[in-house]
Amino acid sequence: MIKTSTENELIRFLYKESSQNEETEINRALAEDKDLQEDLFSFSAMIEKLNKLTIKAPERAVNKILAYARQSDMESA
Amino acid sequence: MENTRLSDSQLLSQYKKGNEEAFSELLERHKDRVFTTIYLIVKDQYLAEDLMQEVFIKAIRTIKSGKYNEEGKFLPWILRIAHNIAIDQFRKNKRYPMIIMEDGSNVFNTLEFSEESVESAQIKQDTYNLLKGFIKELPETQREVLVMRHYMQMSFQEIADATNVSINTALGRMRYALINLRKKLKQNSNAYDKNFYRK
Repeated sequence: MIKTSTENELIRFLYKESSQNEETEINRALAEDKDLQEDLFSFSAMIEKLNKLTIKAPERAVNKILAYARQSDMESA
Repeated sequence: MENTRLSDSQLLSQYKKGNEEAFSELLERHKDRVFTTIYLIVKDQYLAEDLMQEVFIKAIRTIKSGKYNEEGKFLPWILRIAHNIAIDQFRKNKRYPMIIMEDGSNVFNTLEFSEESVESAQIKQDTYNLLKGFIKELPETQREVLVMRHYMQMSFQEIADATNVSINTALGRMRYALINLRKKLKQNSNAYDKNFYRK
């Protein structure tokens, strides 16, 4: 069974926030634990999907913001 | 080839000098990330649209009044405004979740229905669309960490400080968010396979 501390370290490792020592530790744990290896690959795939997920801002909201910016420029001119 | 792309900081100083195009470029660069951050917190397309306008209007006012002093860090700054406004709204809606209309229906159900129909018209069964829906179903604490880490680019230590929890709690919430999303995507793909073979 994987320890919670190791599972949390895996998250830091995947998000590239581990120190050199922590990286060495997690690599050692990964070499010995198949469940942890499975988490590494499935979490990594999920993180990649999340990084690509962007919701497009609706045009009408963008146009209203631009109109406000123009108006405030005219007022401050 | 020489990279001539202006930095956010350069665009901001141009905008302060009255160059309107500089603001359009800033908006174009960051609008989707700001919208995504708000939408994933409030979970309502129309409300997210209104709040995005509020965020940028607040930013314009702050810049124009000369109060903006985070040169070169425009994106984290505007994402913080977006997050605060969205969280305030989300909590307000949680306190007062029901607005009953004349016919007795809940206005939030109406909005949710409208939003669903718009979404389903756009892309069906697409992984990213599914993922967007699954993020909305995550418990609030997990969704908050996910949004802060992925869309606001905060480190786990910064998230822990901002949400008054230990770094291990923040990491644990992120881990459970990933586990839940993985489970939901897997369940969905299993259900899809069953339907496929039934046909």
